[in-house]
Amino acid sequence: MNRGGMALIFAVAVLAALGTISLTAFELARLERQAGLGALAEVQARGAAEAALADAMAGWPKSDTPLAAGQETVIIAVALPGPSTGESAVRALGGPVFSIRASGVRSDAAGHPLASVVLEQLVRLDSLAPDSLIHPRKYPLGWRVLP
Amino acid sequence: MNRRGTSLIEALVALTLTIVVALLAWSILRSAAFRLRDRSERLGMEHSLRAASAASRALLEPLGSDSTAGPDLALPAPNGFVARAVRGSGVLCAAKADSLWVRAGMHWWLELRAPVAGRDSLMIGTVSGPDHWAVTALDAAPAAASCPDGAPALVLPARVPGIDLPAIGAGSPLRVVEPIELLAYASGGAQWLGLRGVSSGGSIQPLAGPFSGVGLAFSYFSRPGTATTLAAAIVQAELVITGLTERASGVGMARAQIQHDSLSAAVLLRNAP
Repeated sequence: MNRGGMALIFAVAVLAALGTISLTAFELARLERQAGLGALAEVQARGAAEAALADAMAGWPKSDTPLAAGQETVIIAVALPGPSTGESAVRALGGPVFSIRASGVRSDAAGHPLASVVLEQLVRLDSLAPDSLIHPRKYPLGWRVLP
Repeated sequence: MNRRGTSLIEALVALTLTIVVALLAWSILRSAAFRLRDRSERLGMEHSLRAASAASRALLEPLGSDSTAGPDLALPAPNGFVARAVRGSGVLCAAKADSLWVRAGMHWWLELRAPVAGRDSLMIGTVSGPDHWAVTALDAAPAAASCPDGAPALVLPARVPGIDLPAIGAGSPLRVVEPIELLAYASGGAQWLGLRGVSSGGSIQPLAGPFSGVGLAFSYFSRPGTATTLAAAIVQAELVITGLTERASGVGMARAQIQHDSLSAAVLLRNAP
């Protein structure tokens, strides 16, 4: 009876089972880590967009206001640790209501985007403050996250 | 002396060693399989908690209230609510009593799906007089058209309330909305979170779960921080979820208990007045 052959088959079967289990566990851990990092990157991108929107709501010079329908002017750019960046642009809709679109992007070290968020706030621009800045006024139901 | 064959002692030693090695291998395999199932089940449970929280936040956060359109939130209850969900948006270039012209093309018209008459409503923002949103039903499917300035447009057949018609026009923001119900429901001895289109009369579709029997509860608060179910007064909603693994961890005889984890989140309604 050849016992050496049986031991080899037994050992290979056990190692194959353990290998499969280990690989699956590694894949699960990778997925879990990826999901966690994705959620964190989205929060950071959202933070950058919120910061850019808050800065834009503080006002901008009247000369930066777009006039023609569809015209857009970038009014604020912010950089935050992460690195994440935010940008706000005001867009003329063809009437007295304007749209402020704030985008936030969380990038990796190589500059590739990991997550991005775009927020919109509809505003009216009918208030010119003594500091010569346009101070937007929120339009009702005007805030939303763009798809 | 005949050395061929094995003695009883040699056979016993070989058998004992084989059994020890087999038991050791079984123990390692069982432990590894147990941990794998445990991680897999916990990953599924955490995914369900995240999905429930993200869906609730996405629906609740853009809600608010308007003087004419009323509150976006309806029927707030501990096990769910009905909310206006935006399915498309654009900007008007012209308006008539029976139709609205919306600018078409990228940067102007955004839609998650094509507007459906009988299922969707339209909210149109005013551009003169007090700021408010007029609400009307979409009467028929949109069709391609042109704006007065020649730009491409979509024409949406809808009867605009006469009182609002003078206040809307070029530059009015427009939203296509659908009432969506987010509801916790019981199935298979556990709670699940599901979504349902109210105007389409569809059945509830599972979104995340399972959750424990009493493990999913919404509560609503007014601006002074007091609990309320008055839709127009709600400025914040809180969600507490207790998730559970769909299967017990482990395999075979090594099954362990169903595991639990919980999540709580507070969502500020960003358009609350």
